[in-house]
Amino acid sequence: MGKLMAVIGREFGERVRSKWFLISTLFGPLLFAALFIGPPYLAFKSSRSVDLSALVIVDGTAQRIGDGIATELAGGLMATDTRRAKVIHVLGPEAGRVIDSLRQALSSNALPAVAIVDDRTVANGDVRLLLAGSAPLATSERFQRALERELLRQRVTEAGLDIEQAERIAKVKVSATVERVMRDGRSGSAQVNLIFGAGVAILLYVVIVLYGQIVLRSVTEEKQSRVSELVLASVSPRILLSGKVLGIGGVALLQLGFWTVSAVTLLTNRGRVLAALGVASTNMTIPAVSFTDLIPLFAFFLLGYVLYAALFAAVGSIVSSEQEAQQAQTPVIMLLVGSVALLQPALADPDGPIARTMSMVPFSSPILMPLRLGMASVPVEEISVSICVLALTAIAAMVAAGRLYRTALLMYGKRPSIREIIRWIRLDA
Amino acid sequence: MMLNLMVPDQGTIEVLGRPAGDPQVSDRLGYLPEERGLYRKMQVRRVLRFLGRLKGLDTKDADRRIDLWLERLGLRTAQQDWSKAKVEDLSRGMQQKVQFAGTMLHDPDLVFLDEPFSGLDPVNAQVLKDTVLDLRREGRTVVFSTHVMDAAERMCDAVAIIARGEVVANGSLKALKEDFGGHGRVSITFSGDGRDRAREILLDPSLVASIDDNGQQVELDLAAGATSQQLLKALVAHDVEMKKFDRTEASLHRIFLERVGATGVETGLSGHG
Repeated sequence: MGKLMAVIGREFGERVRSKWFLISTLFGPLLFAALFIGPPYLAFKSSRSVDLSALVIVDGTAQRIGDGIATELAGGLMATDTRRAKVIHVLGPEAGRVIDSLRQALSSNALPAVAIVDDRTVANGDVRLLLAGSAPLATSERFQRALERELLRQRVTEAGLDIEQAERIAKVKVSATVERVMRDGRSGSAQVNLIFGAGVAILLYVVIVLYGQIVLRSVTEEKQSRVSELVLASVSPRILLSGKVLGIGGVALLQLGFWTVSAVTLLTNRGRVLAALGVASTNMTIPAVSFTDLIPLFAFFLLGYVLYAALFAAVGSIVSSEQEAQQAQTPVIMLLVGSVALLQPALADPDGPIARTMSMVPFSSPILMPLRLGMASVPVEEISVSICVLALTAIAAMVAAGRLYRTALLMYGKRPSIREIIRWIRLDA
Repeated sequence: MMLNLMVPDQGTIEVLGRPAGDPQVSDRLGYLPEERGLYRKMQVRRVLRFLGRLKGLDTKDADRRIDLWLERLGLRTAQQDWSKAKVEDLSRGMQQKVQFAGTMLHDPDLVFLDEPFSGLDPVNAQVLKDTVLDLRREGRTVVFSTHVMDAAERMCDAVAIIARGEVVANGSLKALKEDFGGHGRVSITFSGDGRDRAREILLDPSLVASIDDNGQQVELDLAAGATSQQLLKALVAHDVEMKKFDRTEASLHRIFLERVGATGVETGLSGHG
């Protein structure tokens, strides 16, 4: 036990102390911040990027809709903003000359934007917007909304209706709240569960690939630097392998834990952070996940990691260099990528035959079962069988990798054939 | 196999009275592999602590012994303490000493040293040699695996020569020299025209098995059944002038060549053990 702890301690301690760990751990919250806070903040910033109060509207309409648009852009009749877009009323051939001179002003950046409205605008809403810089979507959308309101006001007035009344009638907004009733009777949002399930599945995939690769590299390095010979003279291959897998798994858990806590903290405080940046927004609701939901998720993560870590370790022990390891790991990577490729059919029909079958296969169950758990009500028996099959496969993989380890770690040069690998596994039985 | 790195196809191995691979045994063994390797990115102290813990030491005890060994090997002095440096910052010779410290940290009863002097400069080689001889004085068994016969001859009490997976010679150095040292080795220094007068005798296969000719000085192995007296008699009979006629022991190097069977050496030395 002391020796196993020594191996675990070394794998864990050395990795947690490394710069790589510090950078990648801190990178997580930065990435989440960029994902959760970035888009609304950038959208907000870009909506302000063109000052529409400095806009010049060339109005060639008889109805003089330019004034109305300027009022709308300034915030409507009740607006307090005193800065207003400038409106030039010009009809006939004179309009061309005015537009040409404004174009020059735009090209020399003397003006931010010019809008040209004419009879076609009144008839079917066609409008031309000329901007000095690139066109942020929000700028044109804001102008379009102002134009729409102004055109609506014109038409409503022509029809003899009240604008407020007309707007109320035209505004129909449908908002559906979809709830999923959980096994323990509580309710949860179906979309949130879908995002949660897919998120967990993808997270597990990323963590398994990331940390499986670390196990692979660690074994290859040990073999290449011949340290394995020294270590194997003191501990059995099984202890070395278990210590490695558990130690690196501990690092994964620590990092994953830190990422989860930071993501949850960021999500729940998203509104507050955005408000501090001057953007109006709300906090995001974290899906209601009960403790009983977390146990199978944790089991799938742990067993899935152990299974793939053992496979990666086996690959690492039979190769002699990192370049060779990159090639030799392809079958293991294919197993993982295959599982991810099945995410889409499983998302479309979480209780369908594909999702149900593949969530029983140990190589894909760590990714597909958490997804199903998030989306559908999976019978307890199915979960239990899936976990048992996965656990047995993970144990078998660890035992086989441990046996392979002893012979393969001390073999250099030619990569062994499949037949040799099987012989080595049997040899140590 | 004694270290349980490989599994025997058949049979059993007992080390220190217990089966090989028994955890109680492995904690009493020290091993310095021929291919040196340490975790390059790790601090020297942490690597040694790890190696100590693998042999059942607790951290505190390991630290105390690390200090002792690093001081003994000159890696921890008043001026410089290399225990805090990373392994990759150390020279090859220093890394080798660190690995040797790792081998000895847990006070093993039986130590396996595989080519311990390879790649070491003369100063470090001497430090290591002195330490190994200290171990012998302390009553520990050191198993040396080496191709440098000279080092083995100077340091070992008993020698086993293994060729193509078989033990071809085994016993104390003295017994080995008696058993396999051939029929005697003679070193002759001629004077005057002694070398020319001796030519015929030196080519007589009934007297001389092989010869290492250095002009006025020759070293030769006596043929089977021949004695140094017979040779001396023949030389005197031919009136060969000599400064020195010396009966010497066969070197381990010679025994190795003879037992293992060297190809491409002088006639009479080939042949398989």
